[in-house]
Amino acid sequence: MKTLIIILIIVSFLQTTIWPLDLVLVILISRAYLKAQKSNLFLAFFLGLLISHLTLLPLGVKSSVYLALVQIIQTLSKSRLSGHPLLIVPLTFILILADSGLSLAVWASIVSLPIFYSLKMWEERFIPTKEIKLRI
Amino acid sequence: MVYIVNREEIWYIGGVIKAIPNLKLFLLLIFLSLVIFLTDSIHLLDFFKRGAFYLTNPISFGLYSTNQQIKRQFNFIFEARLAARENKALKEQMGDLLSENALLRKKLAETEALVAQEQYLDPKIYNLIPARPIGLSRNLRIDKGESSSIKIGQVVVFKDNFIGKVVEISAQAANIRLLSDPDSKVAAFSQGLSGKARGVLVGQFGTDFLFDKILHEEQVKAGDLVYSEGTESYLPRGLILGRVKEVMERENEIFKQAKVEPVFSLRDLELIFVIGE
Repeated sequence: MKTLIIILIIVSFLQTTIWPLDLVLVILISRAYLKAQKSNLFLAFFLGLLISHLTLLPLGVKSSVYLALVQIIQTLSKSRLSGHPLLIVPLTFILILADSGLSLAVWASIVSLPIFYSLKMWEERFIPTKEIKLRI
Repeated sequence: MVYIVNREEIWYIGGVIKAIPNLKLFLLLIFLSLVIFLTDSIHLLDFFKRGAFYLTNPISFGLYSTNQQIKRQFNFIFEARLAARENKALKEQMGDLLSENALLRKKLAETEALVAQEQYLDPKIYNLIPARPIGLSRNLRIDKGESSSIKIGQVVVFKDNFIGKVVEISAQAANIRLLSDPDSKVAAFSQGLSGKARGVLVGQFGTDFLFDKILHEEQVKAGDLVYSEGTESYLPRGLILGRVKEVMERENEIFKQAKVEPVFSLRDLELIFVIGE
């Protein structure tokens, strides 16, 4: 989790200084699609505040948007459709389109799949869960 | 009007609420966001924001300047490739321009030679055929021949200097026997302040000619110019043959002699003229 937070903070700075693509939202969407957890909402809230601060928007605006989008994804991830991993691409496209515009939505949908699989691999291989127990 | 909610409807709403994960937390965070938004709208958070900028601005600036430097490096590589291409194209253009310039200079020199020639031999009297020297050994080879109406025995001049006469000819080239050739003999006279002397100019191996058969009583001195007599049918009178370099006089011989040197170097000539019919 710490690693993810550090990565998200770095990405926040990158997207506000170098590349205007909303990578933080793409990562949050991918993670929410992968796992519906409370931590996603906290991440959306705090990173929304950080990005509002870095982009000189009124604080709370981005948090509300991120929270809403993450909540939509978490709700969808509970449905039967969520079984297909490729669904992340159109979902990202639609949600980023609503937030940032067409060209950035296209870019976001392109990078969404590699980000999704990277997160999936990270969560499955390197994050210990309660289900995994050592056999003694 | 009172709307009565039955049990089935309550069960359905409850089901929907259960289907939305972490709804309470979501609503709480949304509420918090709205509170922060409103607080920020009335500038109550400005103090905290200023404090946060002390932390975030250096990071943003560092990232931005690093990005600019990387962009400049890539731009430099791109521009270097572009410059290399431009350099290659410019070199080719410069080569073309240099060869064009050389051609123009050559044509200019030829034109100047033609104009200068017309000042010495009137083109109305003499039919002057311009030709370029293309080789020099015993004879001088020129790039004009029978196709330019040149014939054996015709005289070749440069300005008012005699160069030689055509001895061999082909369709596109001709050989000129020079004054320095041992087979060359031309009736000549020298003219100077001291007087005039008549004789025969004979070619010798080397650059100098021998002015021979000069009578002792005739005056000739070093520096006098030697001209053609014009007794040969092919040669006009008064063409410059050379300049007297040294007079060789012996009491016991009938004639005196003089060494004559040419007044110009054949290697410097761009264009010479054959006196045609």
